[in-house]
Amino acid sequence: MKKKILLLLCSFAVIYLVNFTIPRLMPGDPFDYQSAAAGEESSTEMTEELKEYLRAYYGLDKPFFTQLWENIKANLRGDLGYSIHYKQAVSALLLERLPWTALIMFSALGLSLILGTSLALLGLRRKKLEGGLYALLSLLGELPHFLVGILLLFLVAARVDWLPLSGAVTAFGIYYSEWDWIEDVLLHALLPVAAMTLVTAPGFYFTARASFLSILERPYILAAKAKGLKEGRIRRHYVFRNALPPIVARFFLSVGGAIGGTMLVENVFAYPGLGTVMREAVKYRDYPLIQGVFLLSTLLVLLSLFAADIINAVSDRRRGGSL
Amino acid sequence: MKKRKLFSLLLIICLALSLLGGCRSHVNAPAVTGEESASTADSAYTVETLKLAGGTDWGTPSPYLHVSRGPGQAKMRLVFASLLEKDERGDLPWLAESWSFEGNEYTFTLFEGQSFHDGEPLTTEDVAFTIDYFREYPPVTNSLGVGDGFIIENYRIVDEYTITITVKKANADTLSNLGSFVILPKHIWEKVADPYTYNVPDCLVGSGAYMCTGYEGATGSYEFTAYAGWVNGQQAAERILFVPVSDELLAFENGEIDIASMPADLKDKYMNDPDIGFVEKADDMGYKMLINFERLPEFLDLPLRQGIYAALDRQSIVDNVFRGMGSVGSAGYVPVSSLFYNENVIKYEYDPDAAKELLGEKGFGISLLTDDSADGISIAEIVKINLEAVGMKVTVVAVDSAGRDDRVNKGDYDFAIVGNGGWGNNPPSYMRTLFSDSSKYLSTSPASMGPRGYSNEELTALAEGQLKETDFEKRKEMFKELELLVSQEIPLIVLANQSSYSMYRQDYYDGWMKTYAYQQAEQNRLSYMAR
Amino acid sequence: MKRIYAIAFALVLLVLLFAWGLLFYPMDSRLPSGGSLEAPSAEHWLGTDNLGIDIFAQISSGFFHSLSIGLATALAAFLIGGVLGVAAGYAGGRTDMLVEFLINLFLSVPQLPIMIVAGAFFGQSSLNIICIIAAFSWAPIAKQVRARTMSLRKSGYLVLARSYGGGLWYLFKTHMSRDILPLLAISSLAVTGRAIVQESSLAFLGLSDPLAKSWGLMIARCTAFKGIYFTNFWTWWLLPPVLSLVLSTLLLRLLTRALESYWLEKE
Repeated sequence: MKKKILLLLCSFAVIYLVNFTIPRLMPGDPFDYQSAAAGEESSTEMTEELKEYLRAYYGLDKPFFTQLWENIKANLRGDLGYSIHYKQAVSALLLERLPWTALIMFSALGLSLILGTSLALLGLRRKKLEGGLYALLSLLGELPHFLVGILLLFLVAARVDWLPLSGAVTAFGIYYSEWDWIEDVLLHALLPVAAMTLVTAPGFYFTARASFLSILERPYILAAKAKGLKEGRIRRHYVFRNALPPIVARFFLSVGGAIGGTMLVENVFAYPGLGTVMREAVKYRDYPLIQGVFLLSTLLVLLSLFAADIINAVSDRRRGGSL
Repeated sequence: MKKRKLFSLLLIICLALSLLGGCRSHVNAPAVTGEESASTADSAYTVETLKLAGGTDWGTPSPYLHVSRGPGQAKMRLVFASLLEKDERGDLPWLAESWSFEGNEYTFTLFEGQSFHDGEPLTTEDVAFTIDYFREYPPVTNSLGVGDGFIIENYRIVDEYTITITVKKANADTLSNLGSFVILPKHIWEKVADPYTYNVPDCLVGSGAYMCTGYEGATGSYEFTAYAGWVNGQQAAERILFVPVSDELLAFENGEIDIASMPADLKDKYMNDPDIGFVEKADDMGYKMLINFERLPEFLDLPLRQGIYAALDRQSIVDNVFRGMGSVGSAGYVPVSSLFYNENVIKYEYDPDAAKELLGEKGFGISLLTDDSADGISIAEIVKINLEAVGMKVTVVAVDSAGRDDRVNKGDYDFAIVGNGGWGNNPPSYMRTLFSDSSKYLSTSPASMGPRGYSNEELTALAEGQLKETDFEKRKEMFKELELLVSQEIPLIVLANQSSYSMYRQDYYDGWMKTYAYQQAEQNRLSYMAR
Repeated sequence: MKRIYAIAFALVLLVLLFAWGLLFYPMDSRLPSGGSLEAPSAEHWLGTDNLGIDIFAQISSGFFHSLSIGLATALAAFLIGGVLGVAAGYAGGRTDMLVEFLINLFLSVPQLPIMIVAGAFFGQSSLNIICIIAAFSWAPIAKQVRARTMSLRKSGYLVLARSYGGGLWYLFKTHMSRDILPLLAISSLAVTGRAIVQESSLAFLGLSDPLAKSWGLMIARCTAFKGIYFTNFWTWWLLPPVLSLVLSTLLLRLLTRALESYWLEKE
């Protein structure tokens, strides 16, 4: 476990450094990017003096290592800096966007877990179904998230009028009750979550299936069967409970891929989460914001991996005891 | 047992996170809805609401917080008023009822009774404070200059409503510059030491005709409400909403928004609809090709540049890329539809044979830099094919806009295609930063940066001279002379101009207009005033 | 075995179809050859996009763009993953620790955000995209190969061969390659499919080579077209790249799986 933590910290340090360096090496800086598409142009342009002034204000004129050191100090204080494009504290911006991303991602992961596990259980019971299920899911799991999102958008959302095409809530919507509002949010989240779930669920199915199969071969299951315990009871008490840790671990292991998927799906549905803001941040070379999004997603992924490790370790120890 | 606990814990986390997302944004919703029910009693406005397509976060509409692009600036200028405004013909009173100038002294007299959105009166004290404050902390949109370039020498408060501002050196743009900076409330900002992070509701207490009553960055929605204390005229709408939409056109068809841009390919469909009105942005977007003479000094030879013009089938850019909405660029730079266009500029026809003769047998190999937009790439492809047809070798390099700007600024290109808006602006003050040797690199945006490694005294004299000329007609003549010279000397290649249209339902509201200076109807505050 | 042939045959058909589109189909994939948004016809098999460029020609050129990116990435991942995996598994000690750390590092970073940033930083050329995707593809391969090598190293005949003084290259060639190469090849084939998907995702975000007629870019352009939802343009502008993408990734996936099971059976 100590080694794991050390590895985690090292990974974090490396990623942090890369994350700090790369945006600053990108061609263009936040103030150089001035030209714009039609309808976006600013009628008064920044003069070189103003750019210098702003560079100094945001501390971008300082030597690289001074910037790095100050950045680390600020981050340790919990200060993520100030977005140059949006002119807002990065932490406030992220706090505004994170819940939407989390809503999509965790709902999709949760649903995938439930769906994948149930399908695996179903497959165990109905062998005939299993072959088709296995083939179908292994194909589904290979599709890119954004493609499934686009297909849902064009084949479903654009065909029916009760599903919104984009966004997270109805703009300036009037709600008569809390439930109204929740319904609106769920309706908007429906397709993004569906797109994610369709691609993520197969992974859970395979993990669950493998886990169930390996448990079924365990001696104590055979013993229970020999004792004449009922199938249903064996399933509930022995198989399901013992097969769960790898599936839950899978939940946490999936966070990394799911963050990427969510960012893509958000861009398909113009969902106001981290993915859309990340794209803008890169476009406008908004260093602090890029770093902020990055830091947040890295932390989320590393913590999830850590959680998965703990679950695995605990279940290993228990298995070691029970066998 | 432990497993079940773990599982339920997981569900709880999911739920909690989801609710967290809910709660935060939910706080805003009732505030907006509350106001809607309160309205309807007053019918002084032409329409109750005007709805526009939102969806992009253009920042808080405050002088230090908005995003430095047209739409961000326009929203800020609804909330914050400047001394003057422009209409179709020229300057118009806005906060200042009257103005006069002599030499370097400009005197403005404010409307009486105007107040800030919190009810505090707006006086010359605030104007003076704003000047001092902007001198110290330049705002995002800055017409007054920075540091030594600050154009104001000093000011004198004559009385509560009259102020005389002395500039360092008056020129043709001074009145426009002084007329366009927005006025801050002194009582709020005098306490603020770092305006760039001053992000509390107070920063939205403005001086404009509309108040910002709702803003949510994540979804890009804005709500502006007419300010009852505005004295110079009547607002057209009680509320202006920027609503996030998934598809602008679909939303317009469904009546969710009142104005939308019209795609070229659906032009016929809408042009024949009598209920729909248009605001044309004639030739406002333009594409030019810069030649980096520092790298390619051969091209300082004029016949080669004439050869390039003859090699390019620029009409095919208009036809294929702009789908017919636009015009072949004038070699004098100022587009054909402009007030300042000189019809005598040289017109270069598409003539590959002549081009081959002019370019000779050298077979230049060049790289062509463009941004990664669909239009930019299509234009680059056409230019490449045209130039290769006359014996040049062209490699297209496409990078994202920020990367392209960086390279153009640093001179890291042979030929570069640059597209930008604002070609229809009047007067065409961009001519100075493009063609004057002394002002060329002052502004470091590719859109207004002239050719590298090229200098021309005659061009410089005219480009600088027009700025000193305060007589409108004489200045116009100078611009026309400049255009003619540009078309003869060809410091850069003008490719094509693109027009676009905003369409709206006439029967609902037809106050959309463009000013003589600026063509964006949606970004123009006079579009939101009853006139 | 039959299954492998069937899938491979389908793949070859696909390649031939698009090769024909690239070489003999009369329309250009870069320049307008017809009116804007023409419906499919005898002249334009799949119609034209908003710029009047033939869609079938674009799809064909996009296929080879995607495929070459996929194959190049797979090759890079094959080499990096193979070398590092074998080295770590065989050498053990410090080398192993370092490689293990690298593997874990690349497995634990959130891929898409770093790809977005790196894509914007290194510029949007096809070569850079290959490097970026390869950087995130070798780790799983290396992990597998490392484990396999470790178990092989402990096996009797290898210990014996080593005691006779066989060098690493000799050992690999004569004793290990038979076990490791198929594993490597199959994993790399899987990388091909995944790289195609990732490239199209990046292209969809506008971070891939903008000059290539890549499928992701076509999809992005189409979905950004105003009014696309209430016209039927999408049926010939959006569906072809989407379906081609689905079809080619699925075929590759099927092939990988068939090979995998064939190899497992053989063992």
